[in-house]
Order: sequence, then structure tokens, then C-alpha cells
Amino acid sequence: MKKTNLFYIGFLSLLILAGCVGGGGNKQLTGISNEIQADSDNIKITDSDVFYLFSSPVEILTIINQDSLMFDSKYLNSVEKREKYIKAYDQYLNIGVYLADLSYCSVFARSKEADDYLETLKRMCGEVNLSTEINIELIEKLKGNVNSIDTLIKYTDMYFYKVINDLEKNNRQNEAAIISIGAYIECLYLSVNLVNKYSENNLIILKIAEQKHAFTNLYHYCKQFISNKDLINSFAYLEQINNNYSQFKEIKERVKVKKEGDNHLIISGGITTVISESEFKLFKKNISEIRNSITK
Amino acid sequence: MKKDMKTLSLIAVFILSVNLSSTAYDPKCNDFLNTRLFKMSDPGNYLPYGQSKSESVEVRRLYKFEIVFIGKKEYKIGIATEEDYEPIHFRIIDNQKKVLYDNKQYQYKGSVDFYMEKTQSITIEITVLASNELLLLPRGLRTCLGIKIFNKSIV
Repeated sequence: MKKTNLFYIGFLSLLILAGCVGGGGNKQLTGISNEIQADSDNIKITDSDVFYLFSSPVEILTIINQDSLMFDSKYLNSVEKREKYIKAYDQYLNIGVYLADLSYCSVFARSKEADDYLETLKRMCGEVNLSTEINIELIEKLKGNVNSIDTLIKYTDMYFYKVINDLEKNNRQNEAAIISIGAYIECLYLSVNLVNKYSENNLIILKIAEQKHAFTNLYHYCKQFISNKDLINSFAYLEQINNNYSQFKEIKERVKVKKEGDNHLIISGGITTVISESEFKLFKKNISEIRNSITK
Repeated sequence: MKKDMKTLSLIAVFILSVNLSSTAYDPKCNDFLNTRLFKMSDPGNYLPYGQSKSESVEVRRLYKFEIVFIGKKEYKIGIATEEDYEPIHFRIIDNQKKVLYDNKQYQYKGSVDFYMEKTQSITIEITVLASNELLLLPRGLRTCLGIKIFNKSIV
């Protein structure tokens, strides 16, 4: 028995030692000089170590929205269609669409319409088990603030990220990706329809072109989690849009950094995407077709 | 004796589970950005930028955050970890792999401000260094990492 005890004690000691081996293959057990581990160039990165972050519909629509633009409800997806979305896949995609529509109403200070979209989202989120206590609380806060535009915009933004973060933290990245795809497509659809007339310097078109970065991040984010048929289907929409974006002309300017004071930088230069008139017409047509097939 | 063996077995299982859990998902990091552990100076009249993030990360492992920064805006970025795991090494890199900022040159300062002229996708590479001489570092030791971003438009 004594031998068995000794074996157990030895085994336990080995377990403790195994747990104390330096992280990341470092040789020291305790302490480490900054110079050794700060050398990030030699560390291998796997896909799961990369986080792709992207803008919310509010952020996209805020930069596209200009003072002279008029709110037009005909481009929104009617809340009455909600009952048509029976399959979970259609529900997730259209939760994204409705989140973008809510953002559009918020950005254009349309509180009555925003309230309708909130109610629709509350019901749809409940149907797909997205109604955590915090979400419900946030919706109630939103509903209580529909007349205060700044607060409405702030909470709409928070609501989008809350939905996505909740799904991610519960390992439901597929659903988070599908909702984001729906939201992004709707944002793009609303944006292209805000353009009255093409011109090379049209501010909305320039902003739409800039959204290439956000779509690229969303594309890579979705690619990381692509594991079910539903995401593959909606990913195909994203691929079509990215193909369109990849055909637009890019003007590359070397990125310059100027240091100002102690801890402030000015970053200039970079890539500017330019969309020609014919490309814009085709892009608008493609986006409308994709969007209408989602909301049909 | 049988009782002793049972106790030892239970301790073994406990130690194994502790070692394994060091690589597991940590819910305490969910709200790390909103705790007092996340230290960042008052952003003043800047607004929160949605792409803030808190994650459970492995100490001394490199993580990349791909972030879109909208043009014609001023940004404040704060990056923090739990106190015992400081400092954090971070670099801002453009899409041509050019290093625009390396906090190693600024005593691993946890924040930086910048103005972005054009909308760009930028990589922020982050490694939690945990240089505390007294800290034991089990394999796969995890801690919370948070990035908070604020911005304001420049007309």
C-alpha cells in the first residue's frame, strides 16, 4: 500500500509540474524579460487567433446619411412580412435586415417607424431564443427613448452589438454571421437607393465604396465559422458582393504616419476605391436582387 | 488506506481539471470592459465606437484584431488586461504590413490617440506579456483582454 501511495504522490507531483510549464513555450518558469516575449514577429498565428471586427448598421448609415437626404420608407422591409419568415434561416437573415431598418429609422429620427421595427425585432428574437434578459431590458430602454434621437441611435447601436456578442458568447457564431450578413446587405441596399444621381464625387457613392473594408472583414469573419448549410447559403451573397467590390478601381497611396506630441498620430494615405457609373448601376442592380431574394 | 487513496484520487482529478480549465472559455471576461479593472483615461467628448471587444486570451500568445477605422475621425484606443498580467505589447499595422505604431517604444503604454484620414482596415497585434517576476505561468494560462475604442468626427 505504501508503494501505491508513493506512486500517487509522484503522480500528483508530475501533474503539478506539468501545469507549471512556462506558457507559449518559454523556457523560464517564472519571470521573463520584456525583450524575449515582445518579439511578436516569430509567433505563429492560427485563424482562431484573428478577430475580425466590423461596423454596426448605425455606424454605416450614419456616415452615409447627409443632411440633404430624405427618409424614404419605401425601401424598408415591411414589418408585416415578419410572419412569412418561418424557417430559422430566413428569420436570422431578416432579423439582420430589420436591425438595419431600425438603424435607418433611428439615423433619420423616425421614432414611430423605429418603434414598429423594435416591436418586430422583439418578437422575432423571441422566436429564435435571442431574448435574453439583457436584450429585453435594452429593447424596453429603446422603446422608452424613441423620441430622444441621440439616445435612440446610441441604444440601437448597442442593441446590434449585444445581439451579436450574446450569440458569440454562446457559440452561435453561425447565427451571428447570418444576422450580420442580412444587416450589411440591407445597409448597402438602403445606401445605393439614397443615390439620386451618379457623379464621381457623390459623397454617398464614395462612402459606399469605403464599405469594401467592412465587407472584407465580415467576409473573413464568416469564413472562420462556416460550418452549416444556412451560413454557406448566405455566404454566397457575401461572395457576390465582394466580387463586385474587387472589380472596382483602387488608388493606392502610401500610408504615412506623423507623430504629434506624446501619444498622438496622424495617419494619412491608404487605399481609395472608385466606382464608375456603369459599375455603380450594375452594383445597385445586384444588391437589389440579392436583398429582394432575402426579404421576398 | 482505501480512504487515503480515494482522497488522493480526488485531488488528482481536481488538479487535472484546474489545468484543463486554464484553457477554457472564461465568462468573467465578457464584461471586462465595464469593470474597474479596465483602466483607460476619460475619453472626454469622444463617443464609444462599437468595435470594442473583450476576450479571454492566452498569456504570451499573439492575437490579431482586424478593425475598420472610418476616415476623417479622431480615435482613442485603450487596451488593457488584468493587473497581474501587464504589460501588453501592441502594434498598429496597415494592410501593406507596415508598422504604424509600436507601444514598445513608449514603455508599453496601454493607449494611443490618432487621426485617420481615410477609411482603412487596420490590424492591431496584441500580446499579453505578463512580465511580473513573481507570477507562475501555467501552460495555457488565460486572462482577460479588452480593447475599447472611442471616436469623434472632425468636420
